[in-house]
Amino acid sequence: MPAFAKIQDYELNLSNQFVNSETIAALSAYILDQTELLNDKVSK
Amino acid sequence: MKNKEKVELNPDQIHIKNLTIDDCGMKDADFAALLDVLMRQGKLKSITYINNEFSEQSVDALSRILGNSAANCQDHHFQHLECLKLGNLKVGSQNCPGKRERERKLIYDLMVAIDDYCLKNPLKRLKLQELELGYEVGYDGYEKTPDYSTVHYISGQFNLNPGLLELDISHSKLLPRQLSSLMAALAWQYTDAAGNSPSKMMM
Repeated sequence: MPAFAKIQDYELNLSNQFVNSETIAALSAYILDQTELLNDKVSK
Repeated sequence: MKNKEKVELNPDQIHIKNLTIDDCGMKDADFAALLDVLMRQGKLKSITYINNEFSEQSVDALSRILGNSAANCQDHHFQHLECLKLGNLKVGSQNCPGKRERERKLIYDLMVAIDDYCLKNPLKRLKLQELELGYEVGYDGYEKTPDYSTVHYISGQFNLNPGLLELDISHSKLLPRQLSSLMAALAWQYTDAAGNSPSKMMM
């Protein structure tokens, strides 16, 4: 996960963190990746 | 792939129910991209987006989330959006002819999406702060409908949203007559037999 982003207690809070297209793309990819892994794990 | 499987998977660090983005220099396209990813999770209950850029792509993505959530209203595993807070946003990204009309169209489209969503899933908290809600006529490219405005939709929220707990439309440049319309809708709620009314309202 990108260092600036913390997902805790089901909350993603990016307040006062500077983000750009690269960091959001990295964060989006991480979320997507982990979600698919979790879904795979649940379905097994 | 093996490396991925070694990662400890904790749902509370992956599933996102609350999204808060305040003063991040977030661009319109980036917010839209993030919303599209979160829509796939189907867990979002609250979106707070303040002091950032908000334009066509954000409105489209937000409309998709609202539409997707409404479409899955029967799915108990699907979380439904309960809180939407938008404030102090840089609406529209360029200074060019027609900018004002485009901004109005964006806000109008947003209100239509919120309205459609609330037909199935009432929002509990709605904040539309410093968004220009007070215009009265249509915009270029759309049929002119005098005396029709986003205030119509805001008023509609009182009817659509019996569970509305908080409504914040402060600094929305409402005209006096529109305020009267809102007050009339609010008064109707207070005299409604069901006694439904927002417990907190800011204008």
